[in-house]
Amino acid sequence: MENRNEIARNVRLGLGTGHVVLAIGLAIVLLVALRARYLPVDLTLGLVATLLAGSGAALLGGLRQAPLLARVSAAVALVAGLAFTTALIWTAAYLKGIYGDLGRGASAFFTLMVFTILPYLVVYPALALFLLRPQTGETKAEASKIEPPKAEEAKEERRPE
Amino acid sequence: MSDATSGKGSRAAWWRGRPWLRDGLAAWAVVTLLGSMIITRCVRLDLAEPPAPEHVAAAMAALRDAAAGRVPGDLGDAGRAALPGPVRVLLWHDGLPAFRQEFEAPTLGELTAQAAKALGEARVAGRFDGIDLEQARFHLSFVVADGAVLSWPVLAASASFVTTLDGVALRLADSTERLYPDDLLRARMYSAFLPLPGGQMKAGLDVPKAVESLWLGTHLPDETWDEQQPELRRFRTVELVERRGGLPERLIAGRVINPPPQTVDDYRAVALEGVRWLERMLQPNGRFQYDYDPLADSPFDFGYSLPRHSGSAYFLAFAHRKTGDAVAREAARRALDYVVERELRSCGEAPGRCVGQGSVVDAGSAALTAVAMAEYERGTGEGKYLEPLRQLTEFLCWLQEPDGDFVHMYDVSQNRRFPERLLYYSGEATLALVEAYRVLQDPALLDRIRAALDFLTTENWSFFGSAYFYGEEHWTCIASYEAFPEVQSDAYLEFCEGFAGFLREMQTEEGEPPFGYEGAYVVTPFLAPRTTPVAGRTEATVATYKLGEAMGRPNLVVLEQVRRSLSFLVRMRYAPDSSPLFQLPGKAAGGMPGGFDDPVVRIDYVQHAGNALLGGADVLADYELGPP
Repeated sequence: MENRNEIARNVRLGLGTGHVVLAIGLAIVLLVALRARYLPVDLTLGLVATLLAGSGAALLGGLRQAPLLARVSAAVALVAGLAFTTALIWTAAYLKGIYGDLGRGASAFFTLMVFTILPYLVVYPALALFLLRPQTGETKAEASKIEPPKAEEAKEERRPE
Repeated sequence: MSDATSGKGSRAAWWRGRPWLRDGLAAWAVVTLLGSMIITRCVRLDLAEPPAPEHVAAAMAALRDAAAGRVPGDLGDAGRAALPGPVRVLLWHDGLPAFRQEFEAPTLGELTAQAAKALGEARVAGRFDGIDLEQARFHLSFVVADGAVLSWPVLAASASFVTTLDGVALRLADSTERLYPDDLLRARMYSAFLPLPGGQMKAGLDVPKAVESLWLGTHLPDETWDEQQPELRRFRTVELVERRGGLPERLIAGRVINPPPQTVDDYRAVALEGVRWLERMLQPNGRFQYDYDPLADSPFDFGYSLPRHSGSAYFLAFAHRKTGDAVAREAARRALDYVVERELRSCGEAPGRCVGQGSVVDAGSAALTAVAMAEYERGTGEGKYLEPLRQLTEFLCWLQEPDGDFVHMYDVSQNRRFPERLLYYSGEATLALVEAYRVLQDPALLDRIRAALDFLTTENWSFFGSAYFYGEEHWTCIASYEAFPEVQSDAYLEFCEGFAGFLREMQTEEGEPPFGYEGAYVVTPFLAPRTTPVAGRTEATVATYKLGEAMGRPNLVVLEQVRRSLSFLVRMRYAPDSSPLFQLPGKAAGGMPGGFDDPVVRIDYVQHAGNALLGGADVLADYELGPP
């Protein structure tokens, strides 16, 4: 098993692909779905998409600094996701205060928006941050327990004859 | 320790080692939830109570004395009634304000004293010369709440005012300027900012225009804008207008909202008032004046729609068949004669005859003309329109495609059938064939009707996601009912009940904010309820209930849905004296406005409402009219 930069290969490839796919999705939302240009949203989505694309490509390419980049991009995405969720909830609260009731249509819209944002900009970045957490001594030992045969093989390879 | 236990331990250790993450997420949740509660609380308006109507009536009588140069009478207890905020005093005459001033007073007595003094000064200055004070009406606007709104971004600001209920205020360092709901309505600033998909309608208050208007009203130089520290606010009013011989009436969106119906005779009466309104709109040549703006006492849109002309003729003929009303019959005849004499034409290589000028004709004009002619013949048996009805039916049959659908536009000069499909036309053409069958009794039409209904209710609406929404299917459901029993299918009833169920999700209940009237169809409170969607859809729900009843499966939920919507329509139609803002209120009487934010009456608004009301009178009984 390849384990560059202290993360498992399948995690590296999975998160690398996930970051790139999410970046493409966000870019499509920004460039196709949101026709109106609004700087706070455009800037945030653009920044998150760029970071995710770059760090995803770095993970897929196996660069040494890739885990760090991926952690940063996931953290930025998580913060953006939480901020968007807060903004949506506050917007709904504001409109509820104005109109007394959001109505079924607007309620459905806000619910849909929140549940669209949550999986991609909250749950996924949080999961990525957890999987990309820096390896402590304990977790390193755990990682070594998971792959004992390779570790022994490696020792044997290094043993001078 | 097992690997699993070790893994859990390491994850717990990782989580415990990062208290900032745990605390940060908790803080986010708390800030978000508390923030949302604080925001709702800050922008919600707590409405204060205005003075009682009998106290206001006493104040209005005193103001009338002052305007006429008499000494105002003593208000008694009314004078001590506390006022929740500023009050605007208006004197309307012929739809225009002869006097308008805002006062800040703690009690109704103090307000009356201040206003009487100002009215006396206005009288002395000659401002009431030439005004028939007996015809003029006092109107008091009590500001009962005000609150802050976002002024940026402009989109948020435009969505921060409830259409036709909220006024807009600009609080300055030295004063507060206000545009009241009727000011905004008259200046057409409601529903005027954000274009909606389709391009015909807009949503939101035109805040830039409102702010400009308020600022100009201050007469302050532009350089003082920053010094004045302007703050955008909204406010809610209770509007009471003087009524002779009775207590003042409440105005909503600048007009009196009628009481809900008490008996089904109220439905018929309102429908017949619509007949009278349409009859007044008929010009000598049989063409209607397309619409009427009661605020300006003039037409609003100088365009014309032949399908709507024929649709109105259909309602008149239907009203005659249902009630025997002679005015309806005569008006229907005149409207149909106009089509026969001016618009009916040969269609090049197409068989039969079609309706409309120019090289391109449409299925809708021909279809609704056929519907109106058939309805006239069903009600009168005159035989006057049998031949043009046959010709129009021939043309519509020629437009029908092998799958049962219809071509919607046809180029007569080039003999070209356009592939584009437009809203309503397929359903209208189907209803035309059904109505033609009822009069002509041509059995060959039955297969065509079956093909059309099968297409509209099954093939046309069977795609991924079709279970979640519907188009505008009122003509389809009317045709499904009218075709029974010769052409029938469970699929038709299922389709129409599905459509009715979809609509119920949007239907308002009594007391539902912000407007509080049951029976409107609204997607969101950002858009003020409109009457024509309610009326057209109620035609469909009436037909759906009748079809279910005819098939032995009456659906009482649909019946209740019908009741709610008819209650809304009855409340919304213009009575003989609906508003002091109208120059000639009598000309609007019987008309149906477009909605709270659209005072204009158009011929098809009256048509759809009238058809729905007469249909509803068939299925509802008096005891069912009260809310459950």
